[in-house]
Amino acid sequence: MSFTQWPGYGPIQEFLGFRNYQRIFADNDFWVAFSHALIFVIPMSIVPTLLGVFIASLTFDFLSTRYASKVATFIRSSLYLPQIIPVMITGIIWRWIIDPSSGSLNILLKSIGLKSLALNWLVDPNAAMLALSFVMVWIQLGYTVVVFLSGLSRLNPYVLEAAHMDGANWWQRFRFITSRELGPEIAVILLTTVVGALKVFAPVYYVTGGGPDGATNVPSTYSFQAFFGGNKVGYASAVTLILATVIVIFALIIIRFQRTGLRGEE
Amino acid sequence: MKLKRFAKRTSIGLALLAVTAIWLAPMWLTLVASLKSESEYKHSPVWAWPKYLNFDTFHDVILHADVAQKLSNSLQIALGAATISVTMGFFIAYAISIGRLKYRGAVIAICVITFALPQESMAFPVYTFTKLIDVYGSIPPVYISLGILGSAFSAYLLQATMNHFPRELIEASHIDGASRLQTMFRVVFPVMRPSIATVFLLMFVNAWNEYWFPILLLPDNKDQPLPMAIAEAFGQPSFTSNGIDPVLASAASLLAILPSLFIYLNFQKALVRGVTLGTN
Repeated sequence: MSFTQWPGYGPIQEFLGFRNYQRIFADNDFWVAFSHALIFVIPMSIVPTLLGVFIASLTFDFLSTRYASKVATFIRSSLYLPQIIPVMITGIIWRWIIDPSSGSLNILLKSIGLKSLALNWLVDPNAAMLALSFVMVWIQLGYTVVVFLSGLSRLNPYVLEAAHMDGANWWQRFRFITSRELGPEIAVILLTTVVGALKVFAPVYYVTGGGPDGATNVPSTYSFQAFFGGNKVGYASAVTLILATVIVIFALIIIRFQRTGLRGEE
Repeated sequence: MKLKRFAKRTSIGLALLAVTAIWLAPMWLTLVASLKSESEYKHSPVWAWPKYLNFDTFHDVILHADVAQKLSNSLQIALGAATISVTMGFFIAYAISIGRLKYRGAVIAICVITFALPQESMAFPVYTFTKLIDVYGSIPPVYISLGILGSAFSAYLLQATMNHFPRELIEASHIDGASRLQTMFRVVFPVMRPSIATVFLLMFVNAWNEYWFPILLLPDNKDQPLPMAIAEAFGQPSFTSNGIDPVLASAASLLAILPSLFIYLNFQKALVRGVTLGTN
């Protein structure tokens, strides 16, 4: 399909060979969309991973007594909540909250005297990127926290205790023991979340629709628009295949990396 | 010393609770907005609990969106997809782990790549294919495709746990004269049942939340699953200057997440176990 020109109905109009691909590489909008996907690796992957390790180990270290563990369970379930909400609904929820005129966020900001912060979230390109990034962190954090918490529970408590006895403070224990022991979890999370960032669709589609004017477009929304809006099925397929290729290459590198890592340990 | 530690513990606890509060804030705002009338939303603080509970908006949404029909669509898709992926996944995992498949590394890699690929790269061809064979617009192609694709993930998860299956049990069943099929269904399956249930739940939730296949394959609003139908009907803003109706949007989204919330509150432990299954 990616070698053709086809509006999605009727017979295929023309066989183009690699011309769709040539067009894509010369298409500025595609490169903008692709660069956004790379930017979104930060809120989809890097920030949630760092924040997740941090929150998980704080929760694990300081809220493990019997009374506090109820608080810990509450924190964990609340942070994980965005993960089970269908993403299109997450999109709608945030879409109305950040609505510049009638949404709760701007009303709230104005009422507490931060009028200058009440940006036009859907019209100003930078504000839209910022809002979307926050939504992504909001979605992803629960996943990383849950995985890290389960990783921490298999950690040998005596190692941490011994370090504690030797006078290592929390930060040192975190840096030299906890974060290293969590290596396998970090690898899996980086693989899944970076892949998730590259193919991100629903948060963008349902919050900003890729707008304003393509300012938050990513490859998935771009190919969706080509597929439906422009009836350029061949072109959309080619965009998707490029994205798929990038993801497969990335996944293979990580898998290879992980295997050699495991072998190194043995 | 003890007091100091208590103070430290409390302050860190409070800091974590503050983060949690930010995380729950959107849900709170949505809840209170959905229960207010138009005019109360405009004139009362956005975070305040409504003075007069107003359920009319929910009533409107249920009437307008035919929620019962959408719920049954969602159930059909999620149950169908989960059943197919777990059945196929079980067979594949069995071949990989217990059958000691020759190219197991390659099969696992294919599974990982399948669930790493962008959904649309598979949804576009399926879209074209369903049009070709004239089943476009019906529900079964959605859950069949989702089920087959999901089988890669469920096979991956199941083989991870099946690798720890005690080999003595299999050898014993062979010695007792059980055929291969009998070993599979009478020995391995019962032991694996908890993991299979966990993976089933995970697949169910994934299919419930799926969007690419329903968006592409179900153009008619009456066939769409609940979250998507609600999103299309009440959330799709025209991305221009005229904004979204806060009260309507929040009531609609709240209704759409109720089933997910129900599943989450009842099966939280199993779900979390499923999510962490693949990581260790």
